[in-house]
Amino acid sequence: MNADDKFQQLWRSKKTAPAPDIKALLAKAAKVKGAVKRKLILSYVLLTATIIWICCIVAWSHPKMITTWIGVVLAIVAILLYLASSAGLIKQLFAKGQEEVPVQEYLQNMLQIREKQRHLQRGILNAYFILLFSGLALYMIEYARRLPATTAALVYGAVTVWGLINWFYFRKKAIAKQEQSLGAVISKLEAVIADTKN
Amino acid sequence: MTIQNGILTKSPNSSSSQQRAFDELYADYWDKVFRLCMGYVNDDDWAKDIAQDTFITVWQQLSNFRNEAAIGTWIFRIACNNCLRQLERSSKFVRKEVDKAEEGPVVNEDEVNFLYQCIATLNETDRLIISMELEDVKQAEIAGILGMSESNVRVRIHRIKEKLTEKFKAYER
Repeated sequence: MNADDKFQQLWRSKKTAPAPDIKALLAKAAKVKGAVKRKLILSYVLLTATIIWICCIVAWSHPKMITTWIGVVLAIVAILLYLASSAGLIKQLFAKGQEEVPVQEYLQNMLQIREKQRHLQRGILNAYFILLFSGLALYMIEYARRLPATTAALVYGAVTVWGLINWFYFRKKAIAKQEQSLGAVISKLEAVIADTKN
Repeated sequence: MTIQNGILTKSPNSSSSQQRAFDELYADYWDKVFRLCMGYVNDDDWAKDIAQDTFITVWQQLSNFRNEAAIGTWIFRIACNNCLRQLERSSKFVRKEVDKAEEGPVVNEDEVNFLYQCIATLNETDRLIISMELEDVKQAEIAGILGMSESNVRVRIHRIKEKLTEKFKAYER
């Protein structure tokens, strides 16, 4: 027997896993769809709850200065932006009918999505922190004015330190984590695309 | 819907005939798709998951299938894309146990497993090419599925088989 025939014979001798029952297979399809839907719904519930909570605080504290209102709006925009971008990405990642396209096109699509995700996540993360902290700083003006100067300076100092820790530690950590997983996937995709072109 | 010689013919009575056509495809292609996925990941459970995902897509997209390619080519293309999608699971890596096996004599491993282990050491594209070649997919179709030229596929198959032959010679010694 020549090598070709031998390889083919060995290849076909592989014991395959029994095909799952068709009903179970189709139930799995529905389950995946349901899981994605649940994740999206949970995001929107969280979003609505957070905004309602912020609105309750505002209603309870009766702000009079415009800076307080601007601060509240900025914080809400930051949260909306973050959740909208993650929901959009989930939708994009589970877009239907992509598996049917030629392999090279499929890989290019995956690469584009991942590059977009990297770009978007970094941009959104920066915007989220900037909006949230400028919102908080503006919101606090009205209440800080009622405090003695030293206490107000202390409060603002603490918030600034907290903001700097977030910017230089948590934001950097989040970007590094994202870079580690996403960067590895992007380089692998680029390598396979280059390989199919050779 | 009926399948004759790899061509899908649509009929107006779509719902039950789609189910029948799918049942037929599932029975005919499960083993082939499973082996292709095994060639790619060399892990039974993982291969089963990818094969299942492939048939879920086949079920969902069957009504949109146009006979631009043979149905088998279409299914293999979906399977290849699902295999390559595993690149995104960076936490999980393909089992390349043959690297360990090469250090000493292989014991308790039969030739079938050894072949699948050897294939697992190849790069992503080569794993898919050789899996489809061993599954008797025409080289022109492999080229079409992967978006490569036919001559490139032919050269690669030749090189891969050379590598496999060398590994088997060393294994049999």
